[in-house]
Amino acid sequence: MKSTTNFWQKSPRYELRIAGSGGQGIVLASIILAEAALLDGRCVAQSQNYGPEARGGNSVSEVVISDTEIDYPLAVELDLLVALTQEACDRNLSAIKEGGAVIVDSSLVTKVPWENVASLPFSRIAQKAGDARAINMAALGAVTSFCPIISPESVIRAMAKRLPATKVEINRQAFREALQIAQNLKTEPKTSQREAGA
Amino acid sequence: MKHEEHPMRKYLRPNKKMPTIWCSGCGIGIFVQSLVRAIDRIGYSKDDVVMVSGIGCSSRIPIYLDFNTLHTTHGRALTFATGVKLARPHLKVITIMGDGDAVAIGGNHLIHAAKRNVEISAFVINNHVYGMTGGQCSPTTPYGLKTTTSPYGNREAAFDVARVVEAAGAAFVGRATVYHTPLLDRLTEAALRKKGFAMVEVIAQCVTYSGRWMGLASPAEMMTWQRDNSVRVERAKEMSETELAGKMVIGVLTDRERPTYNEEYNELLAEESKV
Amino acid sequence: MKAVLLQGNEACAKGALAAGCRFYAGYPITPSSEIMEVMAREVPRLGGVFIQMEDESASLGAVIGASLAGVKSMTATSGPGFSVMQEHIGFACMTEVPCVIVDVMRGGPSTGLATQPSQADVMQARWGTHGDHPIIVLAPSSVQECFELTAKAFNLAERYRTPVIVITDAIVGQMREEVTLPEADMEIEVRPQPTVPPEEFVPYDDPGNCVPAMPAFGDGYRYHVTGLYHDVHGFPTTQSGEIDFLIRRLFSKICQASQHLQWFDSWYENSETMVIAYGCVARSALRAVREVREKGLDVGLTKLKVLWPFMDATISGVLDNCRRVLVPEMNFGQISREVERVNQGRCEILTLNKVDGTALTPPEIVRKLEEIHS
Repeated sequence: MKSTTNFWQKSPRYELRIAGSGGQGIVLASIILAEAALLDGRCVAQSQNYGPEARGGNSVSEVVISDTEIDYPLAVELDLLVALTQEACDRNLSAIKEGGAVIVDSSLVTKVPWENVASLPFSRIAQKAGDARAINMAALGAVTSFCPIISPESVIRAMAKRLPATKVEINRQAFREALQIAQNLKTEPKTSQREAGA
Repeated sequence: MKHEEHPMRKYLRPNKKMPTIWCSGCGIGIFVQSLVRAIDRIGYSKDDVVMVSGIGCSSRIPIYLDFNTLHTTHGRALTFATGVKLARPHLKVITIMGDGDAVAIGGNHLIHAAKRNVEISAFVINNHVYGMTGGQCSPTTPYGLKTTTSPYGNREAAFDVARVVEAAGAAFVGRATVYHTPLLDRLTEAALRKKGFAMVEVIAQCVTYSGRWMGLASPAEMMTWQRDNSVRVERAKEMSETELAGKMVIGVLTDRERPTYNEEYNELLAEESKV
Repeated sequence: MKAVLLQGNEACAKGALAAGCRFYAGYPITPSSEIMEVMAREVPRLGGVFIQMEDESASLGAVIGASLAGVKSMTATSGPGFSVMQEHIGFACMTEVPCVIVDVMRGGPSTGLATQPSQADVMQARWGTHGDHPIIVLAPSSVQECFELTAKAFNLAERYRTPVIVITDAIVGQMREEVTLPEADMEIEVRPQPTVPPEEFVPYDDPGNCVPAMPAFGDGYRYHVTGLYHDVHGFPTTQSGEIDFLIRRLFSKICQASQHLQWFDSWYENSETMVIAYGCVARSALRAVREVREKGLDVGLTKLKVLWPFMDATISGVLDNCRRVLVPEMNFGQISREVERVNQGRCEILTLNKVDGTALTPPEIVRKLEEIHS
């Protein structure tokens, strides 16, 4: 998959959406990302939208990152979509800008009619790290890889700030693992849609 | 002849014009006297007493009394009282509400105040009718009574206010009529002294409306009715349900120790500061 | 100055605490509950009182009671709860008890949409309680403003002895942005105190600036507080002269406040077309204005931070220097009618209304502006 940094140079804003179902830690992932962007000295706006369900149901969160003051805090055209369920992917694909990218979980999302896609086994990475719930931090690993305006160091620092101390290590591991897999994926110049094994 | 001042005169506001708005023969005045006598016996400083009322005839009581007084909205006196008591716990907070006020529109606030056990002494002046608005049916209007809004007879059972409040968790619950003045005096003082939510249901006559609806033409007849239809709680224990039908059980109905909301909250603060 | 990532609702709570709020009573409701949750955690740590009440009416009742006992107090809610609170907003207006109410607007009428934004409570904030009354309503459009305007709401409530309403929406209340918190204590105002001994104290007289002194219950100034029309001593009255004096004084004090309450931000002033917006829509509007300016359209923006008393002077200044005004709102036109009232035929007033439970987006405003300029 192509890195999405070039959008950063063209546009004053970088718009990212994480979509999935309630309980997958969608909102927390976006908060950690926003916190990381802030640590990197950027302007940031994080928002969320969800149904009445505490678990299940559609959950969407957004992060807008900019080097200058952010006027409109919500995404207009996504630079990057992270989809953790098939339904979330189907619903949000139309919001991506031309040339934008999609990151999906390979076991939960199988159909992605889009050109620039990275499919990674976040669920498996999380389970391997020791907690299936770390799927959100695994996804952040891939985000950090494809969107280098966010530094991995800052995401790790943000995790320590926002996660319970006992959970930090497992999540950090899931994050690093996914980051590594995504880096390898990026360096192989093959077809646009990828499946990365783990 | 030397003019001697009434011993309770000092509790009346010096700058509030009389007379009161109450009809002659109204039972509310008897309760007001009972209340100031109890306050006088306990010896509260007037500056430390906050009297909160709702809307209705009895809720006009605080206007005439020389305390910190707050005449609130219909049914919601206890919510304001809760705010005052928690914000400044050393104040003695008293609420005065009518039956429609406390039990209909304010019923939820009443049971929640009792549940929380906020240290408030609450007096519900029950005259079985909405007096100020013209004698309409209230939640305590006896079954079958014809009023302006139950012209064919009230088809709902009356609320037993005292039992509702007791079930909700009040620390002290009593009931008296204004006919039984010594009992009323004792209950009022006990409610004021009680640590926790204390409620006294005060049965008082409305000569203008409920008296008329009940066919009791004079204040004296209404107070006779109060006497004849009341049973002391001690005696009631030995009576059957059938014998008690239509009777008002008077006396101390509940008196128990429960941590007050303020005590619970202070404990929470103490634990938090240790962390 | 300390920069932190905060949610709009959290910032409201922090702003309140910074302004000295030490009493919170509330009832949970989406999308405002985080304000209550922050207060539940923080107020006890500061030695204040937090209490969850049985409904919103009870919440504001307790808030008014605590304020009468001398403690700065607040509550927060959303549309359905705001409706339930209206009775006590009127009581606080009539009895002149300082308090702050945050309404995080969601879709309505009735239960509407709990998690979706709206701006449809603007008129309810103004006229929701019965009877003719003045009110102050502030509208933040960023997380920073959630902090600042909630803090300022307390100062205004204390200075003018009035309830002050802060209306945000599901977008502003729920989003997270960087906030700069003042390190040193900010300017904090407290209600005027009596300068005379209790026996000379007249609780509802006009001291000259229409704001009478307000001692707390327990301070030795025993006086009567009532929601009835009252005379200067606080006693109920049916005398027309006394009623007129009271109601005119209540209005005068907020009228006089109005000249100090022209709070707004402007971009590209004196443009041919000016957008007038508030809350989350002001953010969309700013983006849209920047985009159409790149395309050469002469468009500017005035963002309102105070909604009531309506900023006639500010709006009049905008209308004097443009050809037309666009008022985009997430309702069927609540502020636009006020702009029309001030306009008196000077400019063309256009509206853009969205009521589908989603944000009014920059592209939608861009399209409208392009249409206007085509």
